[in-house]
Amino acid sequence: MANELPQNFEEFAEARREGFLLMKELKDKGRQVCGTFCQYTPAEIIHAAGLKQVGLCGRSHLPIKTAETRLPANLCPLIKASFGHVMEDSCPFAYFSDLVVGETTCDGKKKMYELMAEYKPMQVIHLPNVPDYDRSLEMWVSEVRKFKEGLEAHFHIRITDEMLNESIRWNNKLRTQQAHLYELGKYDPPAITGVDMNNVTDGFQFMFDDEEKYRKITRIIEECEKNWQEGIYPVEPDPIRPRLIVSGGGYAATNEKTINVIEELGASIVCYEGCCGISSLRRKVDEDESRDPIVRIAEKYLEVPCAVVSPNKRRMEQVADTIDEWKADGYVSITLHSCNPFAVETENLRRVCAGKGIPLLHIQTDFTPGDEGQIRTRIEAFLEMIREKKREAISHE
Amino acid sequence: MNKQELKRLIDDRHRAGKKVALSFCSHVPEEVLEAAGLCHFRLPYMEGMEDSASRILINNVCPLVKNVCDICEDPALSEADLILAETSCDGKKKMYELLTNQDRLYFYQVGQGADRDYVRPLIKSEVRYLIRELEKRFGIAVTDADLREAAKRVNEERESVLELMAVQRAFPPAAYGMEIYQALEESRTLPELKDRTSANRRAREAFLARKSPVSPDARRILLTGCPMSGVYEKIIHGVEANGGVVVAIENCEVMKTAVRHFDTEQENLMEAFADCYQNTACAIMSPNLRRFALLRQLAAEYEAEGVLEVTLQTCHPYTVERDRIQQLCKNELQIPYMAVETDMTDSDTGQLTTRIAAFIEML
Repeated sequence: MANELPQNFEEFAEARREGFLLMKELKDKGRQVCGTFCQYTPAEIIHAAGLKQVGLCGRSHLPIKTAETRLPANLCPLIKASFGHVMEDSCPFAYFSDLVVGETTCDGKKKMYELMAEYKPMQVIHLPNVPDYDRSLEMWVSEVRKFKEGLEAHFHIRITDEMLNESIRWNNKLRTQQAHLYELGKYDPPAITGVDMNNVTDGFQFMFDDEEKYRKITRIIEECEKNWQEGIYPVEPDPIRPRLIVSGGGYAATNEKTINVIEELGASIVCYEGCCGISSLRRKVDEDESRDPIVRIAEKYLEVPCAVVSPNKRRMEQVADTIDEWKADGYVSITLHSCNPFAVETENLRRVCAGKGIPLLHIQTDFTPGDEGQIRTRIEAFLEMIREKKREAISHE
Repeated sequence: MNKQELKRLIDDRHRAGKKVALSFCSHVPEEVLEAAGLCHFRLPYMEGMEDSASRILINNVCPLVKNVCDICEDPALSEADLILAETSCDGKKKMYELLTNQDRLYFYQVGQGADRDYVRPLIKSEVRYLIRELEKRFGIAVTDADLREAAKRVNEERESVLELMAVQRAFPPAAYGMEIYQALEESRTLPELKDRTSANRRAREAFLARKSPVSPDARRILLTGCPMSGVYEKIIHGVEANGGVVVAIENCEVMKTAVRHFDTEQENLMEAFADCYQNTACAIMSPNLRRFALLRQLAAEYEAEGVLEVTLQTCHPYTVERDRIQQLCKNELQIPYMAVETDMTDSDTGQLTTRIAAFIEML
């Protein structure tokens, strides 16, 4: 079984490219597609509406030039790339999207959507700023409901409570499995590499057959656990190997110079936190069907640990818990240039890490080449520092 | 204003038994602070602060956010009793979370749009939470009568700003834009609302009592964009030393705030808050239709011949909105438009002046 594993991972790694064809087939069959950008977009409602959901966050530096004819240069590359793709019609997923769903997360995206609406049918969900039940749940419920009604109007459908309940159950089930995948990193040595972990969760967005997707991830988890129990590890056991948590938002396009290098240089990424990270996956939607499903969905998403809310105490608590649970030795915050929320908040993460006695490395980068060397050097120094600490700790035992 | 003056004012208010609140954004409901008997300043750019921003913040963040960070961290101002941390732009709201003294902060939640269903209920509920917080924090009671009286004073101050700006409608305008901006900068730092109102009125009367120093040929420029307190000198000087005159200022330090009106006769005060603060033409609103309406109105009322947009580096709400403002000017208002981006340093003064001069020459 073990030698089949890389093949499975490969499938996920290739999912985005393969997804283009799958999506075209789906469209040819008359399925409708909803393009999204953000963890805040309630997947339960899109799924209940029978729509296929696909992530539209840009990852290429190529459309940025086009985007800069309308957007300022000093803006996050993800925002520019996503918008440039829509302007150019150069991203098949955006091209095939019948509706694009935006959210008022960060200033840059929120304002960009106003321009994107000139090119694509759009719905923008407004988010609360203070992640507090008393102060924000009411407005947030109103926005989630408005989103549901918007989908109904746009696609001429009706989304019943039964459909929502079923979708809630399904998404909880899927999310639980995704969380299990990250939990494989709790083993020492981890039962999966951080690069593979990322390939699977990232590839997930571009697989459109739900049942098959669930089967595949389940199989990967089972095989990884089985291998580990049998002493087959993805990396050699090593008491001084740094165990890292990686956090941040929207950095998928920088993997080659960031997370891949971290593992290439001998560290293990044991978990991800932040956008697409562990916290969102562990928080499920309440399945008590006697309560309004829209309210239950809103409750879950009010707890998304995104850096756009203030004061973001919940995220800081989750970060502290994640460090303990995954026994992390270091934290890497990867933020894109001009991403104010995640970059400014990194200072708060640094303080949490300091409280836990572990160091934090902040990498600020974008989609263009040129900074690989500098990033690699900083990662090397960071890892060496952690190894030194671990060596010392062992010698004192 | 420099920090020593502000420190003196704070100490002085404390001696008079008053608490002092600082805020940095026009979304914060002044009526509530006034009704609570606080001395409240919406601070302009402050010079001479100790640098904390470079220690706490990333480099690529708006210079105004850095200045607010310095103000809040400066030991000289540690006696201020309350800081209103509003969740307007990303940079500011995240910066507030990093400040050392979190007890002195209160997070006031701002909606992201003007016309969505949730906005009015949110304003009302946030105002109620703020009132409750002030009552608890300072052991006071804020009654409806207090709020009405406070709102009258805030309205008067807003009207005094509108009237001061209105002297620019004349041909030629009654003053240089620089004189108006300086008058407003000074009045903003007076501790009492009624003194700010009288100072604005006095400035207006002085401008009207003299013969306008402005050439009848000066090109009439409408300024729009980010708060300009830290950059107005080089910008307005660039305009007025090169054949232009600033006739109106559409930003949150001047017209965006002043055009709002609080209906003190409204039976339900919370409705009045919603009416007033929903009408905030700020770029964090999406879409920001009110700003487009306000620009249309001001361009007509002040007969602007050119629109000059001033944005601060890394201010995403305003820099991204630029594209649509440009379209508004070009396609609808048919008024020439130019945007400049700047920061609080002097390094770009020469380049800015050249560009502004070229723009005015083209008009």
